[in-house]
Amino acid sequence: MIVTAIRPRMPGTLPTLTWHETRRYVRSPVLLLALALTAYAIYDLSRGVVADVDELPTYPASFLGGFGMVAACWLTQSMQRSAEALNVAPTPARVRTSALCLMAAVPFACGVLSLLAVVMFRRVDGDWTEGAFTTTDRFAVLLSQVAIPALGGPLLGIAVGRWVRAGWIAPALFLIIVGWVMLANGLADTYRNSLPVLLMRMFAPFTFFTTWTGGGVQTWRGSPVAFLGWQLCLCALAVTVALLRDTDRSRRRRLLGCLFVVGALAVVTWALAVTGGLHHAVITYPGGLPQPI
Amino acid sequence: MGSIAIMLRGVYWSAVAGLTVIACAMGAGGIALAHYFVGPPLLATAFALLAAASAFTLDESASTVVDVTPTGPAAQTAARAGALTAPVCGGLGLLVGMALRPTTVPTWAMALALIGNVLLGFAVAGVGRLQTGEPGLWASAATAFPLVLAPLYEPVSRRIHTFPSTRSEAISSNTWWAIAATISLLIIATAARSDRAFR
Amino acid sequence: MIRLSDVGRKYGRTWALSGVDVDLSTGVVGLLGPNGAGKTTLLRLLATALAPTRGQISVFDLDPQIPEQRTAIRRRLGYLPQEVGFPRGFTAFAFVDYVAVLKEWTHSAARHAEVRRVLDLVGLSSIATKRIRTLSGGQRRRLALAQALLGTPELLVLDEPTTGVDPEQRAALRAVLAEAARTSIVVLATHQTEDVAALCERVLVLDSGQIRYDGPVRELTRHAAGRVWLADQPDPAARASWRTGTGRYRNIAESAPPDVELVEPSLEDAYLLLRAGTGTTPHSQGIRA
Repeated sequence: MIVTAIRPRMPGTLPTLTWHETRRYVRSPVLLLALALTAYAIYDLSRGVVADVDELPTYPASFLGGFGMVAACWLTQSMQRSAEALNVAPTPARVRTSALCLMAAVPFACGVLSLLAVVMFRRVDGDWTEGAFTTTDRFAVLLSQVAIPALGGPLLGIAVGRWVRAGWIAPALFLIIVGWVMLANGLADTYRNSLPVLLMRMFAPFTFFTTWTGGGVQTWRGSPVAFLGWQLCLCALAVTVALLRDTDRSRRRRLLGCLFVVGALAVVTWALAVTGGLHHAVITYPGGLPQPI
Repeated sequence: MGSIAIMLRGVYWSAVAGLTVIACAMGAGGIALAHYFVGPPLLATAFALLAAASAFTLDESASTVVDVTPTGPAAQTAARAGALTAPVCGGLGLLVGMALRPTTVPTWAMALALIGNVLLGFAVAGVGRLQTGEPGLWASAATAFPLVLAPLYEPVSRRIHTFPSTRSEAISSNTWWAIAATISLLIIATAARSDRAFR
Repeated sequence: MIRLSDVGRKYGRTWALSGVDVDLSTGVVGLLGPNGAGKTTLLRLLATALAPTRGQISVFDLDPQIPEQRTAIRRRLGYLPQEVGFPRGFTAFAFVDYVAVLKEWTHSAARHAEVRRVLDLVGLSSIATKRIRTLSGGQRRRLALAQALLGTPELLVLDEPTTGVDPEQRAALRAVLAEAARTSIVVLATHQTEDVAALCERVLVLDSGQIRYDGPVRELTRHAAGRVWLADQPDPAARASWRTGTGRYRNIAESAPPDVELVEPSLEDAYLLLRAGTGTTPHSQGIRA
């Protein structure tokens, strides 16, 4: 008599995989370093009054977003070595990718905590230092600079890791993004009202909306709320691109459709970010009204 | 000479060349914007990428076999140092470009920064090579990230300059890179004398 | 001549190898043992890829602890590790040529001739110009063996050389290793007991970092005589029992029941008995307590 063990379908595969990937991710030395540096930066810069409000958010974005991207990319690539064995398991590749994407909730949570820490502990000279923005816009700026990069960075890392095998691509990509942001925002410091520079600034996963000039604060063109929408579309694009890898034909068509829709939405939000907000850069001084520059 | 050329074939050229090309592109942007405040940081990032490229020159996929050959680590390291010509040439191109732009950044200071970056990446990889056959990934990240973020991280940037700057209240880039290059050379010499396998 | 005296190697708090005393001379020595027994550790010690935590190793009267003498050993050594990485973009010829340079073959004509020779020995001369990434697993294993054969080394240390290799090529490789063993010391770790039975005069059986058996292959096999039989059903008292292709069960135990069909034991049978802690006659010289 032949007895064959019939394994029941396990509906909890995704949560189990997500838990496994999360545990691997939080033990990554790169992420642990990012968390330590973020915590120290927030602590160190919160001890005094911050003149340039844009200084503090760069650290969570660089560490949790940038380092987090590298850690997520390497984590994803590490499983590719076993792809031949894993791809014939009952759990399809898209479930494993979904688990990785869900794992990004952890760095995002760290980003949200960083945002709370910045809001609670950052000391500024007055509302004028945050530029000529409404409260909603200011919140959108902080969210887009602190919390969203902590989500988008790892998601980008997962997307890159699913498609590219070379490990050096992640650090290189991080440096390219840093370079692009420096370039776009550096040019904006000189060509404040230039449309091409504005397009370049908005076409980035991270940007500044103000700059400290020593005496006052410049507020640049662009809509922070729409930029936030653009960032969220980039996150969705990263997830879709990651899921596109190793998928069957029927799902690929649906994912491509999804990619098209999200891509269109990204274009719309980007256009809104460029056309919305201030139409001309202004400068704000303590106690004074914003003046165009 | 032929032997060195063959030993250089084992270098992870796609990473070394790829990072060098990206560095040159970024550096070219920095040169174009040399008169804006964003120019030097872009160049500093480009140099950090060259350091990252240097960190991949010691990667050896067949380390389990290579590490027990009679050609010792010193000779292998010396041969692999030939691969540094790629990031060095890329950096020289950037130096020439910068020299043609009348700026306040001295060319010799930039040259020292270039040498320091390349040696630092090679030294970090040399230490990593004692533990693993392919230290490039970790060595490049460990070298490039601090170099890029140091100018942006205020607690560090107000104390040390990792790129030529006219600000005077921090340790100058020349001092920093002279120290870093010297220490890197010592580390390279020490690591190259250590047997990678017999430990 | 190679001598290991009370050699041990520790990783953290675990002794992967301890109290190893063995002398090796020209010929083929097989190394058997379960996973984690210390076979690879022993081979790495012999190949100067690892330093012993304790004890003395002498290879051709040279001390690997002394750097110059270690280099001298490496000039006479061919080593095939358990896992070999290959540089990106290399062809089979280019890889062996690369290792040949590191083995101080500086004269290109002589080196290329030697590379062609070893590739021919392992049956890869027809695909010498193919990229390694296009080779099968067995072909890569033979390529890795080819680099170990460069220069006809006096000491060949091979960790699972025939893994993934087809039977025809395995037979060819046995011929190569048998020929090499005429003038060299060949130490061969493998899970393929047939390779040890076919090739080795002497076998070392490792278990938990210690040598359990050191002696002739025939002697070890003889220990299983009268302890292996075929039956229609598996014997519950057997140490090992499995259904063969004929539908009958091969059983191995310390003593066979009466009136069973005894069969000629293989080295594998003897090894399984030894692993089970039996298969020893009290006065066997080869088996260590």
